[in-house]
Amino acid sequence: MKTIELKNVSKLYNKDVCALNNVSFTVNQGEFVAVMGQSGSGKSTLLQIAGLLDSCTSGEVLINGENVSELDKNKLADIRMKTLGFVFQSFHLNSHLKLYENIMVPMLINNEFKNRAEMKKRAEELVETVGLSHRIDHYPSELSGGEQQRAAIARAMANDPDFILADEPTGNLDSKNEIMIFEELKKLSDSGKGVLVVSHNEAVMDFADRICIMKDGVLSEK
Amino acid sequence: MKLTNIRFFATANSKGNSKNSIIKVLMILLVTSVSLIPSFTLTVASAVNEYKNDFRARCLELDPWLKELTDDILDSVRNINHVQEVDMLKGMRSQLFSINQVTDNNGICEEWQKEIEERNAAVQALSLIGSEKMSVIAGKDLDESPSFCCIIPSLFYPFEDTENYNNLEYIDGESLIGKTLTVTANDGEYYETLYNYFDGEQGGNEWIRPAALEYKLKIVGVYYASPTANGYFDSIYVSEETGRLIQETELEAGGYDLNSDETLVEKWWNTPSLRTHYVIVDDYDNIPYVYNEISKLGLVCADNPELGIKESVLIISKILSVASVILLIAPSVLLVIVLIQSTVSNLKKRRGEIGLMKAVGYSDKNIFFCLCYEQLIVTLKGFFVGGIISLILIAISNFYNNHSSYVNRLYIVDWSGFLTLLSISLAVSVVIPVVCQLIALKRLTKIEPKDAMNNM
Ligand SMILES: Nc1ncnc2c1ncn2[C@@H]1O[C@H](COP(=O)(O)OP(=O)(O)O)[C@@H](O)[C@H]1O
Ligand SMILES: [Mg+2]
Repeated sequence: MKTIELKNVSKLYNKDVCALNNVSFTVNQGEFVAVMGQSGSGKSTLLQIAGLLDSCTSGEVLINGENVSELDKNKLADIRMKTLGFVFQSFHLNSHLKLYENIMVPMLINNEFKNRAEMKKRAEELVETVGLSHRIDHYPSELSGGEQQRAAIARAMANDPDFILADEPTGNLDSKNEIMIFEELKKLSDSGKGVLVVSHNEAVMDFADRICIMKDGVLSEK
Repeated sequence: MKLTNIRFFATANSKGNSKNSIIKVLMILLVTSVSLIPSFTLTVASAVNEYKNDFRARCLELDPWLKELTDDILDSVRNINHVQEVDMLKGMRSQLFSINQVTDNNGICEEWQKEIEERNAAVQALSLIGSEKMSVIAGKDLDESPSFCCIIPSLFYPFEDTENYNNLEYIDGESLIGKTLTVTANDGEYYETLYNYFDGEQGGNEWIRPAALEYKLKIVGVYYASPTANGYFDSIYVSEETGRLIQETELEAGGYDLNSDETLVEKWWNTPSLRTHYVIVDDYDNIPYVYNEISKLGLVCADNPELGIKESVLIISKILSVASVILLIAPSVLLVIVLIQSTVSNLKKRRGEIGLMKAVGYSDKNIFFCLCYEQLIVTLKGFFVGGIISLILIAISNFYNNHSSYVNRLYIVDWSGFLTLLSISLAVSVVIPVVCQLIALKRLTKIEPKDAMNNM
């Protein structure tokens, strides 16, 4: 069973702001978990720690059973590359790369791909699953916001990770596109990925298998 | 991360930097400043240097027109600072000889005979002075050859058949080694020599022109004919002893008894203190000083060396050396400033993108190489354009200077020197962007993976 596990995790910023207060939390494979809560409640901090983008002040993080607390920067980067995919509010697509090339960006550092033709093939498959085949040769500036975020989801899937972590993925989108993005994420959890979405958007509740509420750094199951 | 993937990523991104065209232009300037301008500067500077070191460019004529050049006086000249030696002119100095025949072991060289007759062949013969050496690039030098041998320039043009001396078809001097030139002074009309006199109060010099005799001068070697100093395309050299023998033969043929002191000419020939001397100065730049000191001794001395260098060449050399320093410093300083600025602003602008790269697993090293490569693509493009421009300009200029007057050969750039400078500029084009990225490296490492989450 693939899991991301947080055990009694606390996070202090500048030694006084307590963004996470003794949080224990698990994301399992094939599960769509939504964390909701007001702005400033600590949702992003939770995602950063679960996604190995930041370290916790106390507690333990286990990825697929492996305790990552003691690992160095490069080892953490390696785990992120192989097991975690990210979707952020800003799409951060590279404006000089075509859609499929953007999806190839995480593959460029993955030695499991023998050559770029293989990467391109994988990118084409991913573009198809997010329904952007007709846009494959377009640059980001030629895509709508919703299309860009779908491209970002395809990019998160580039190295076939076990988990997708999304921070306010619909923050820059209108309500029609919101639904499409949540649908894409739902498809991923149905295909066996663990999906953690952090959002204050209530629309996510219709898709989530499990909803947690964050309030002042304390997490509770709904 | 594989190099091919770095290249793929960098190539795409290098299109995006708005400062790229400025960087390319500066790079082109820098490459030309490192390769083109110094090529010319070094060429002219080394020619000027070669000239300044030449024996004849450091050699002042000293004549007994106000005083006889007694041993005491010569010693006081020798004691002047910067004077290396004082030598008496033992024989002939310089004489225009017409060529009558070119022969080898098998007799007359027919192919030359026709040329010589049709084209008015002549050479300027110079004899060595004192310790003067003339090294050869082929054959033997005069030191190891008997009397009545000569050495000729590598680019040889012994004809007076043209009005303008541009684009001459030089003869390869080496092809004539072993052949013998039969020559007479001034088309056989007369041999020309100056003698000095001094009657205790005043002195001067007079020409005598005895009948010209024929000499056979065997070509033993070839000297490098540099356009500044060592000779000219029609100058041949004989040894000091050969010069003395020719002078003596001519005087005897002119009816002078060299064992007596009756005429002024005979007295001049037999009295070293009446003969012309040469003062050899250690450095071209010390000539004015030595000239002044000699004048203070109440002697007549030439204020210029026997071999003159064109003022324009000295000026060009100075301008080039100043210009090359300015042109080297200005674009490189500007380039470094622009590169650092663009690197830093690039990092600010791309904070989110770089954060995302880190989030998906790129290490600082990976990103550093990508950014370096991006920069290198731009600077190397500038290098290629600048290198090709320099190459074309030098090729054109070399072609022109090769096909115009003899003195213009001074400006012919040596290709191997140019290629060395070009590889230096290649190194600079690689090192500068890498150094700039290294300077910005700290900012790069400060970008964190979670910066991808900032809403920018
Ligand atoms: N880098 C930081 N330095 C200091 N305080 C921070 C930092 N990041 C977040 N915080 C604080 O931690 C708390 C939780 O923030 P965050 O996790 O971003 O909440 P949310 O994503 O729910 O809006 C907030 O009070 C915020 O001001
Ligand atoms: Mg947040």
